[in-house]
Amino acid sequence: MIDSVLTLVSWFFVIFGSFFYVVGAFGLIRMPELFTRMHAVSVSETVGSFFIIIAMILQSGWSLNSARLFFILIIFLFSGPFVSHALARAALFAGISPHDMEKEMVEDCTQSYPHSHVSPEEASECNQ
Amino acid sequence: MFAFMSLALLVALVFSLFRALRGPTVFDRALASNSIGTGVTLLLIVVGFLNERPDFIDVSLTLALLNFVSTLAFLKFWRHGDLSHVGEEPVE
Repeated sequence: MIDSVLTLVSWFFVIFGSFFYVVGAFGLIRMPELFTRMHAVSVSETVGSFFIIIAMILQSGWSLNSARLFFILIIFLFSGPFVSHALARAALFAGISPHDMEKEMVEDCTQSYPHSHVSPEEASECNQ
Repeated sequence: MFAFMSLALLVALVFSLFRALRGPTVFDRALASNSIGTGVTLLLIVVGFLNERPDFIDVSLTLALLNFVSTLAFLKFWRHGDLSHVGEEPVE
């Protein structure tokens, strides 16, 4: 009885965590510039690894392995925000600014207007 | 269950590897390499459970700590150009 309940709960955590993890990694290749990529990865990867490790703790039961997994969980919960904070500050210090990226994207949009499928109304919306 | 987890982690690792190879700036590569380190840490635990040898958790504990420290060291080197920098900010 309790085994089947544990299996059910850990399947729930596994599916939830894997979904978040894969969506975060997909955001890493689909997002347009550095800061949005960082947002996608750092948030959803922390949540995904949290749920995956919780599922493995439930599977391994009350043993030494679950204690080790708990320590890995604590390391992840600390290291994710630390690394993304350091990365954002290093990128800002190196001269990459989110505002420049936004301007570049708008310029791309107006340049692609004459020879693409973008209509004038859409291009003017893009400029704003 | 563990096979499903390892499949999802492998898909995420392929996406991160794409960004690490492609990334326009060095910070994209640093972000992708940190993400690959996290994924490999989780994948080691999952493979250990799949082969019924959970001793791999020790290896992944070490890998998680090393990944954290190495990413911070890499970022500090790219920011200050020197690993022994005190860390004071320039006043703008």
